[in-house]
Amino acid sequence: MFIWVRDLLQKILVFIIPEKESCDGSGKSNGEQKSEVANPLLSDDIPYFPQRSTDSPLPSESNLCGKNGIPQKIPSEKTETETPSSNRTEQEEPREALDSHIKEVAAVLPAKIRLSPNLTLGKKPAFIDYPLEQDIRLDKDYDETDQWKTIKTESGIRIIPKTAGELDIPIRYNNGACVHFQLSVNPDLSSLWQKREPEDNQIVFDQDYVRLKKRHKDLIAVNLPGWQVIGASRRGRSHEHEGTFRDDEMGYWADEATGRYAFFLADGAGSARFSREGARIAISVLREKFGANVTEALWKGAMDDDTSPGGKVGKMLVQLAYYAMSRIDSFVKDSNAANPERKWVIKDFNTTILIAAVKRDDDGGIRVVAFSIGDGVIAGYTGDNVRILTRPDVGEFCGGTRFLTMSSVWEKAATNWSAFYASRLTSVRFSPEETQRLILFLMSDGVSDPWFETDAGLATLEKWRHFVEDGLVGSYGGTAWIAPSENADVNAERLWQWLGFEVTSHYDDRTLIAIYPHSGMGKNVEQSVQKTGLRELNVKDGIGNV
Amino acid sequence: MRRLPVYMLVDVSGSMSGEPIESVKSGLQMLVDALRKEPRALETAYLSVITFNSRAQQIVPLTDLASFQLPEITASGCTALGEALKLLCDCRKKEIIKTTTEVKGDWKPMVFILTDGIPTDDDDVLSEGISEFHAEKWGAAVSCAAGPDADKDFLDKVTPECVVELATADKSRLSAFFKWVTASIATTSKGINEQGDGATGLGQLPPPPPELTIV
Repeated sequence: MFIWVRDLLQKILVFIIPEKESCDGSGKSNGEQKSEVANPLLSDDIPYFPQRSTDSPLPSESNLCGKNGIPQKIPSEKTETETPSSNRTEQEEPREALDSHIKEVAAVLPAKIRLSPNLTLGKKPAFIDYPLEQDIRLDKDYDETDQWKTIKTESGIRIIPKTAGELDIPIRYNNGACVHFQLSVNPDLSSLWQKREPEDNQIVFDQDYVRLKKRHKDLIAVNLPGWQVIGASRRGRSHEHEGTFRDDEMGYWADEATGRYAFFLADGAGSARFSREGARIAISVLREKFGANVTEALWKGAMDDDTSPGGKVGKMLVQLAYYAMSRIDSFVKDSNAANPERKWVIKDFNTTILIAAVKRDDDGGIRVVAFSIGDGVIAGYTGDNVRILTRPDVGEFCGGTRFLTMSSVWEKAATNWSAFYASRLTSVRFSPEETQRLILFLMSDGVSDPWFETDAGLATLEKWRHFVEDGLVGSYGGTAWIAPSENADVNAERLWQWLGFEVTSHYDDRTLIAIYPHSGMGKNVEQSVQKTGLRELNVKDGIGNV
Repeated sequence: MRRLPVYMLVDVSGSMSGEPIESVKSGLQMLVDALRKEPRALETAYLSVITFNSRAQQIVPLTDLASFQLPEITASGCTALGEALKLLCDCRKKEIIKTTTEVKGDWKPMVFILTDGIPTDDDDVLSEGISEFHAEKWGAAVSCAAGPDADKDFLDKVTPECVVELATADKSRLSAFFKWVTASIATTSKGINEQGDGATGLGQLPPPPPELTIV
């Protein structure tokens, strides 16, 4: 008799539990079930259900379901018993009759129920309530594994996930039937984002010549007469997750005596291996050249008489940018000459460049000449107006940007310099009255994209109000962000903190420099040493010493 | 927010029944499970499934990975790949947000086509399907010829230079294909944020595993 029952039981098992391990709660989905499953109805009067058979040697409690997700098989002494074929023949008649009953059982008893919607850890709803028919009773009012919890409710069952993944939750009814609830649980997104330190192979940029480390954080904090300059550069979530370095770089130059300043921002291309070094060389060259006598002479005379795009200052900025590109180019060539196996190309060092040259006029107004290659934004915001000093610079292919380091940019420029000046340079004067309300921004696309999205967005004053008032200012509880503290260091640190804002799908490095009038500031430019990133330079033969 | 749309075109004709279709289902589920663990994919990738046998049907509209649920798939009937391509283009027109001056639209959709047979549509439907498909700009568009009976020549017309081949449509090879698709989506979801544009050819996707031969 028990063999007959065993056979029947196995038949039912085939219907109910398509795979052997499907009762183990391991979260595996075998996907073999019909989708029309909906009602876990189990009628008490369904015949031939295993535990109904009092003759069965099975334990009175069905083994169909594992407890707490532990797989339980039919006791081995039964499954391992060879069934003589003669026994089967004897039982053929009643079994065929039973098949139709079994089909009925299967029809009302889905083996799997896909719960909807999917849940996400840390988000509401944190559970799913599944209604059950009145006459269904659960085997347990409460069940729990390390993946999930189930609690009996007045009208059904509440399923509460504890971990992410494809959960398989076996629910037993008091008549021994087992239904597997399938539930997809997404991980808490914030838990997926890792913060990793770069490994050694990241740090060793060029084993023979330069070991380059870069801090994940860089700050500029300086008080100029009547002005405060703060800047912050922050490693993006993507670099944190990958364990790679920040590619952005920033810098400035200030000449107190003549009231001339320059601000620089470079954004190394994420796709280029050594772009952070390209960005660093570019900024370093600009800082050096702005301080050099030759530039100073040109700069001094130029700003006074001609700040038009094609004027002397504009030409000077283009020359300096070209010089920065040449320095990167010669660095690549020298490195390859020293070690031919490298086969570096300047593309590996791709970086954008933003330059803003500022001259204070005697009447209290300022003039700004801006030059840029690639994305990123320079803009002057005065509360009731915004002037964008950069122009869109996209390459031939949609979505691509151009880089300082692209030879095609310079080859094209050389064919028509005046067209190049007109397309890449802008010049603007802010009146004394405007200057009092001015914030001059330089920002990488890691900042501008999440806030302004498109060029049309950049031209929208409302977006700028939102950026300054709800974003920067709002993040400090409504107090003025601009100079909330006399102390530039404190302000720069606050800016850096703020740059950690989270926006879906925006993972880039973020760099922002803000220049704004700050009356009553003492002249402490000598304290304004830029807090540059930590670098270890082991320079041999001068290569890399840029 | 800019989405990375991914369209999966899956052959569910009669010849796919049994092991192949079960492998496709578990492959799709594995793909979704794996991508849910990669934060950039979970944030940006959206997945749609279009099946084709005697008719083409979008069984899952473009859905974020967190909400994605795979419906039941059964295999029977013919191989209306031409109709599927037309449906794909219709779905794209409806579902993809275009870039305007005000809004940055979705990234270019990725398309993966899996078939084990020869298209059974009328010739005019087939040529319409191909021309409509080529009229749109896609990110990576890859066809997979699963098994010896797949029409590689036709697939090469749909996705020139982007056809991969499985010797047979068995569980381990199909699983390898879906793993490679998963890696391709994950890499692209990462890359678009760094490079500003998605992958367009096989060269920008991870190298295919040994089970996948580039045709």
